[in-house]
Amino acid sequence: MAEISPEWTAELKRGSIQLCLLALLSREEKYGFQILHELRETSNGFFDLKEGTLYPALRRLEERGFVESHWKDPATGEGGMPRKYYHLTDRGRTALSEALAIWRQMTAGAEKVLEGIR
Amino acid sequence: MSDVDVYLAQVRRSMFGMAPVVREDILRELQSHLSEAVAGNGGDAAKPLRDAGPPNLIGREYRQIYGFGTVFKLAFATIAFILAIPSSPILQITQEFPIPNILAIPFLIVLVAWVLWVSVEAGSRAGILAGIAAFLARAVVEVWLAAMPPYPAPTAAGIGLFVATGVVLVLLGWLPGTAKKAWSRPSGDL
Repeated sequence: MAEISPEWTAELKRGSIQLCLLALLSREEKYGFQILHELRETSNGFFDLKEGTLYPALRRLEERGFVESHWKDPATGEGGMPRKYYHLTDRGRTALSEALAIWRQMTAGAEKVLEGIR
Repeated sequence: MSDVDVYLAQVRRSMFGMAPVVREDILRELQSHLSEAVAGNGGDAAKPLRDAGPPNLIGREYRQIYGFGTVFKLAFATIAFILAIPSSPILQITQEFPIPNILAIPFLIVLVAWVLWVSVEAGSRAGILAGIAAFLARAVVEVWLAAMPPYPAPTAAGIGLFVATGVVLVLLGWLPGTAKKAWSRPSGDL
């Protein structure tokens, strides 16, 4: 039986999900379904988010002015419904670089502490 | 009606009171996502709907982000305005009122409870609006009484009490909603 509580893992995820979302959106605009898949693939399944977590998180970022969104029809031949695309704003870029600096400080600090542990 | 339609209808119900434009935009995005997820699952909606989460929780989450729409906020403020009128003899400039105190006390209690509820459930902006509406109603009653002689000249203490009560009502509308928002902020929020 695992000794680590699932809540601890969930806390770790919660603490980094917004940073990951901003990072993903900093490269190009994306829509929810695409973000969900890319997060899962890129993180080797660690960020296997539920839709009920992703979409409100995107809306929160939008409410804070970190991202903006617009509706777009799928490319010709793709078919399907219009999609809501999100992209980073200038405020979002600033937030991303600030959060990234803190993240790097934190991981570097943690790495130092964990050095030598197997 | 497909399973997705039923699901979306449940989400819509749980977002009752939100601004229609925001609500429809959320539903459109969910529908777009689900149609893609269902198509990717060979047309079976069961797993995508399970993954999407309970509709009432989704709706509640969105309501926490956006709060109630303008029409509802105005309705809440109107109710506060109406409740404040019969509560006016309490903590007012003068005690010479056509409404007896004994009737005014329950109305004041209900008014305070209402402003608190609005602040907690609809957010601090709606709460402040309800508090201001209550303050305004009490001021309107005061002006109305002043126009009906003989009206005793207000004392400085009376005016102070009147203003203080109004400020307290606005604060009651502001504080609980702000506290709730701060405490219910999801952990890990930037």
